[in-house]
Amino acid sequence: MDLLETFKGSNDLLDFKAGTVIFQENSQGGHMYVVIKGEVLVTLNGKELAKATAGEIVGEMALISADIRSATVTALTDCTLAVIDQSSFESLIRHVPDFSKHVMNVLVERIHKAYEKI
Amino acid sequence: MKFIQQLFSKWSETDNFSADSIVLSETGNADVLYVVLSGELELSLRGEVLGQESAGGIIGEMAMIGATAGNPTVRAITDVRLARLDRDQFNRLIAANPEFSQHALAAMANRLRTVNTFISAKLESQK
Repeated sequence: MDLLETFKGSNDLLDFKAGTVIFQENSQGGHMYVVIKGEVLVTLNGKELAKATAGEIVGEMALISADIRSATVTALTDCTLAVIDQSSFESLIRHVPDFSKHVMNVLVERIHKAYEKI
Repeated sequence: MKFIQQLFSKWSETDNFSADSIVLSETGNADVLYVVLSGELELSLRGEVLGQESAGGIIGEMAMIGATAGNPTVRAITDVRLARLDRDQFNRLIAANPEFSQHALAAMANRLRTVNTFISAKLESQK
């Protein structure tokens, strides 16, 4: 599923300046984001976990398990993100199987990368 | 995990493993994934224990992305009963059943949290 195509025309786009913290680990979070433009950095305890660019998602963990943020995300460049709130997320999971599958694949890819660090 | 047990109550492809047997090996290839129906399993990688899975847990998740390698070693702690799915069966279940999608997403998110917490603690202890 091409999330960039799907969400670039979203009514809920936010711009962040380079260096802005988009969300912080261990905080409460009610939104996930699709990167539309620019690049963001994903860290935990100050260590880089990943970077995400156009079409990639961040912040999905807090929505899936209704839990605190598992990582910090910072804008590396000026960037534009599409915002997906909890109810839109649940509706996508319920009605768009390709979206569920896409998010699941992202998680498994991240697990795969994490395993390599052990 | 009643929902999972009901969903798989008529699933014909189930595997049983006795306590202490190796279900998946980190050095081996697997093109199946398993949903845990009963019992307890331990996940480890390069000798480090990552965590445990019980009823409702999903193992062999690398098969979801079409990878056959890269799973941790999974050992049965107790006798276990597992539902076996190939990638197509898994995808069909995702397409047909949003509750299962949600469940599988939560299982993967929890795994990622566990592994990231493990790595983060390990980096801390090396400081």
